[in-house]
Amino acid sequence: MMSEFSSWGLIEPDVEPPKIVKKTIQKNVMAQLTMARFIGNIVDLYVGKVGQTIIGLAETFDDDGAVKYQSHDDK
Amino acid sequence: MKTVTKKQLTDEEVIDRYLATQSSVYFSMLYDRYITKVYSKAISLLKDEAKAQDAAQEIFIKIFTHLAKFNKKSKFSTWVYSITYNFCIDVIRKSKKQSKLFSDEEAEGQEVIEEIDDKVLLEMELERLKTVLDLLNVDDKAVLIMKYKEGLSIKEISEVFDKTESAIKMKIKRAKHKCQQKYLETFPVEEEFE
Repeated sequence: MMSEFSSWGLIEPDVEPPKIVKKTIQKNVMAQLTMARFIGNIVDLYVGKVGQTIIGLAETFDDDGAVKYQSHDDK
Repeated sequence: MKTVTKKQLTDEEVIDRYLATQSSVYFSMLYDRYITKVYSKAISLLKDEAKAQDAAQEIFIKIFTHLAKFNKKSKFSTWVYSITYNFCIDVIRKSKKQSKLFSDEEAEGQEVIEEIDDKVLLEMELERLKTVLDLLNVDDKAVLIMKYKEGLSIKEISEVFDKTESAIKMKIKRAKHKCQQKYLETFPVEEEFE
């Protein structure tokens, strides 16, 4: 790397965050992710059911059904 | 019980295992590997410890919620760098109400810029270099640090900025030019008089 031969390697060295900061960030991120996962599961559970219902309804109005209905009518 | 040591797994393996299990063990592995890099970059860009702490938190939430979208075409470190850099730039833009730092420059025109030899930049003395970099805008400073300090390739920098490689080459060329200009303005060569 070029920086090894010049001042660039010494520009903005890595700053280790204090342990308390590191822990706090980790705890907050995990809490947010857990919450997001929980909400995601709830949405999946209910929206998933709504989706299944919509698919079920749509299937009753598909082309096959329409043809069947017509042919039944013609009789 | 089989224990997993940190050094045995690549980032990609840890990601796969995290996505499959959502286990806090793999979360912590990735977090420990990248917290210093993310925090350092946030401090360097935002110049404020409290803001850097908030930013690091948001950046990690972003990283983990978008982890499934990481396509492994680039290195994970480049992807993390990209999220970190773009998040911090957004914070700066919001605070300064500067809407388009990068694209403004693209519209600067097709002026001919003299190519500056890398040697000129690499030979700058440390304290002077720090002073000059602080005089540049955040994008110019970032692109030069990515290239000359972090050693990122043009391809990797283009992924961070989400620009083409030729746009990045031009960006670096401009940034080098500005860096040299600022250097000469700030530290003029003293002429010797008899």
